[in-house]
Amino acid sequence: MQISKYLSVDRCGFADGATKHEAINEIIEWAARSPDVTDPHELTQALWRREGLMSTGIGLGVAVPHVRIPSVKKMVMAVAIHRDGLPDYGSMDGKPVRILVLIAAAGGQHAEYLQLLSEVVDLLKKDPFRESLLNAETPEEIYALFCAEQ
Amino acid sequence: MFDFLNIHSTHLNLLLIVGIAIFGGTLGARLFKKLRIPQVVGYVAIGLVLGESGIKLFDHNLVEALRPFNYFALGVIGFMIGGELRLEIFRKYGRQLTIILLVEGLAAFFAVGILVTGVTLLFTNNVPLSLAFGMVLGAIASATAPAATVDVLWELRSGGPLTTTILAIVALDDGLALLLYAFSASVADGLIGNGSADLLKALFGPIYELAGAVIIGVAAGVLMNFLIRKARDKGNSLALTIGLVFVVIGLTLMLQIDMILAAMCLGMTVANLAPKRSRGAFELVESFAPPIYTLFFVLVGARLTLVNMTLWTSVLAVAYVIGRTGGKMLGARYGAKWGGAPETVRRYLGPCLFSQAGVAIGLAILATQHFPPEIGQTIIIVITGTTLIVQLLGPPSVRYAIERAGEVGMNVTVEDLISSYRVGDVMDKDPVLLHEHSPMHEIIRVFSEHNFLNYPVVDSDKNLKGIITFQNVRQSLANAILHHLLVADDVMERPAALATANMSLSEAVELMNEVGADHLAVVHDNDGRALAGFIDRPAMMRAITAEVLRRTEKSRSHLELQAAQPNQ
Repeated sequence: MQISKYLSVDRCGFADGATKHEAINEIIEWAARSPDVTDPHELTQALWRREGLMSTGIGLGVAVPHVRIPSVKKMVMAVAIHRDGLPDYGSMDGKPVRILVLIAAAGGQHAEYLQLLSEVVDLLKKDPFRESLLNAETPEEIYALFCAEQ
Repeated sequence: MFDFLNIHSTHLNLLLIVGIAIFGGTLGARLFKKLRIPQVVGYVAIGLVLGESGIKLFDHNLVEALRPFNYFALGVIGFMIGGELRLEIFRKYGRQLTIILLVEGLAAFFAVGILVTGVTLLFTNNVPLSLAFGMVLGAIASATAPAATVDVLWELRSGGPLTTTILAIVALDDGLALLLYAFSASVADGLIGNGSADLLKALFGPIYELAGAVIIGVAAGVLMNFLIRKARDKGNSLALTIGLVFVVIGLTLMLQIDMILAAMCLGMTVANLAPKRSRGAFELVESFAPPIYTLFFVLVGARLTLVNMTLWTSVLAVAYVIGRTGGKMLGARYGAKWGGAPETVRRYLGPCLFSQAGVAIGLAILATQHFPPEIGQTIIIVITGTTLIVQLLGPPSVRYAIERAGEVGMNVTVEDLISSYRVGDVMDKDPVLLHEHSPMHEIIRVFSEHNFLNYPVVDSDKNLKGIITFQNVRQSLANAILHHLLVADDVMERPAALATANMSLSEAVELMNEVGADHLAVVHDNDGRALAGFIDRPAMMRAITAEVLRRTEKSRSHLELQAAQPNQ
């Protein structure tokens, strides 16, 4: 699966919000830059509702907020690096989250959605990849790292 | 000059009459159904209103012109009854059925015979004439009309020992009536000095009628068995079946033999020679038959007349009804007891044998041709008058008896059950629920512990959020790495089919077919999402099939009981 086709440079960046709330809202704003996100408000609500059910912080400093909603036309990804880490994220291992990958899918993309989620999680579990991401200096570098993993 | 405004039946063509009869009859039946009265009474009542006793829209000539149609209806009814008579029933319960038949038929014969003789004697003081009346009316009283009785059984989808006994008795007792009539007419001739009293000759007639009917019916059945094997499709099969029913009716008319019996033999032969293959043919005729039955019964009502009743004929009619009712009730009860039939048959068979129509009227018409007018006319007035009463009272008593015997709805298919249920009747009112925050391991546990393929997902207020299907879980399992990340909310899909509890189940099944779902989420109202219940289609079908089997098994176990205790 070509992960980078769901990503673009303008949806990669460095979040500087001090809390989980600020950081997630920031990455939602980037995701909403895609024309496939037709209702950023619904995306925000759905992501926070999902976060309320169970934290998407999977440990190792990684969080994958994800949602499947009708107002998204095609699957979209956004990536944020948080240099200081977000200790209030509520991760499984309790460690601060430094890497956030947002995935928003369309209502009918169930299988594709699960596959992308699975590949992204698989990738982020690799120590060298996480290190490279945390060492990236620019959004272009972040994007390039994902493009290189095809 | 304004004659054209005076709408009289001669201005109405046959097709219009047929249309009015079917339409009006069906509306009448609906009205009666609401009053919990069998539909056949509705047909007859509409016939009464439209016919000779009512507004005379259908006069005698028109009803006569539709006579071929009546024959066809009788042929179809006979064919359908024959289809329900399995040889194994006669083989197993032949002795029992014969005893019941003889006792109920002869009891009606003697009860009516004695009462009518007594009443006639009071009025005429003429012993031979009174005996002649008694014997002829007694013989006619032994017949039971199958059509109206069986229509109630079909409407109630009944099944069980009582239903089986009724079907066999109404199929056979016309034969007994014909033989009794032949015997009585011949004795009556001798009593009143009407022509030569040749008993042998008189008895040969009915034997020819009965044997001829059996031969023609069985031969046509063998031919039909061969033809339906070759039939290309349903339409072809229906055309062949109806065509053959026509041929059999036509032949019986030509040869003057018993029509219903021949049609029954046709149905019975086909049903027993090819039980599986012929089922389709019977189903086709059944689906095609309702307008035919409607018209037939409306015409029965239209022909009935209450005019010409004098004090003497009225008293005779009352004696006839009392004697026949009492005779049938007692005869059926003791016949069933001596034959070793189960309690339900002993108690409730009598009220199911009140109907009287075609054969009784036919024999009365024969009497008008055979006897001098003062006897013949009286007999036909008594029989048409009493037919009116028993046609209106007979079907409700069949219904009452079948209900009391607990045989309603025991002869059903999966389709029948589906069309009789509402969603609320079959939904799981307390379904196994998944919560939107249920993690994957919880979802997998639920799927492995329960036997369903679909589960509703709800929030903490039990509002429906989505459905998790087996397919959803399978896809998620393929991505093992996600197990810790996914909750029900990630895996579920939007409910494809939503319904409320009062939606008819057939509508709901159609909805599931339309959206290609095998589940149905039931909510309290269409706008809200508060979950009222859930239907997992495979589980629902298992339950419905089990119910059909349970009912069939119940009817059968009664019959087995009947066979095991023949002399009780």
